[in-house]
Amino acid sequence: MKNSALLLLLFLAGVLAGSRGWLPADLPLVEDLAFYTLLLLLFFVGIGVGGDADTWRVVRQANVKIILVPAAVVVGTLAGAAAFSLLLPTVNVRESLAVGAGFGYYSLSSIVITELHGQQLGVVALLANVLRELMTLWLAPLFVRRLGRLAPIAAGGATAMDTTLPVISRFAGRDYAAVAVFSGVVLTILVPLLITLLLT
Amino acid sequence: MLLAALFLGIVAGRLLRAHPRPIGAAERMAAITIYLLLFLLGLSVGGDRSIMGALEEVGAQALVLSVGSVAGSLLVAAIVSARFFAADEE
Repeated sequence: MKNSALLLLLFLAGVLAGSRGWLPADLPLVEDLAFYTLLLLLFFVGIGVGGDADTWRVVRQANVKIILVPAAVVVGTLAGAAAFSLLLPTVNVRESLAVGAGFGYYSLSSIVITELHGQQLGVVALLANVLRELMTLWLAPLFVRRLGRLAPIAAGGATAMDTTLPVISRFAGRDYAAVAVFSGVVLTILVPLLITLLLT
Repeated sequence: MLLAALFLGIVAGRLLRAHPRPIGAAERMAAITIYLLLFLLGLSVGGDRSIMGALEEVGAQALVLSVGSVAGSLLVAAIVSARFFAADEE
């Protein structure tokens, strides 16, 4: 999802409208529709991924080694989220894993988590995954200098295919852009998959 | 059910690959749906006193999990990088 600023503004506009009571916060129709809307959303997201010629080209040309990149992100993210959840008395390991499994794709992960688990964890997922994207945008040059060229791709997670791709390409090198897109595509597909498996 | 919808979409997108128009329409629909759902999430969060009262806690949890996720990813990626991509790094 490229339009990060607009997405956040809409969320904040909603928060403002809800907290000031400009609009009723619990539209009953909306609650009932949310699950079906989510089904449709995932269907449309799937069409976007499946219909993207670049996706299939990158996947076809990928060598076996490249699969290690998204695999490392999955293992590292889940291990990191689980370890750091020990610092949070009110968030259990499963909830932390679900938030981590957003891999930076905050719009979809927060919506799926809200629907499957609850609003408060949905908001945690939204903020945590926005922060992941921002950290990658800000710190990409540092990550490359200290940890190598794969580092910003790993930090970017699912966003490596779109929002953080420009900084990755700039600091890790153009030749790593294909690795970034591949890793981002794989992680994007894994976001709804892993979250659903973790929370149901 | 959610996963079935995702996979159906991927298969449909794969079949429609040669037709950019319906795919573009689906991507626009996905974007609009996400805008709408995020606005509605904001709306119900804004109207929920227990969450609005716990914003600091929610923010702190998000920060901790975000740092943990990124740190873990960087660590495992650095190991993979040193072990399998050493030739690519100069």
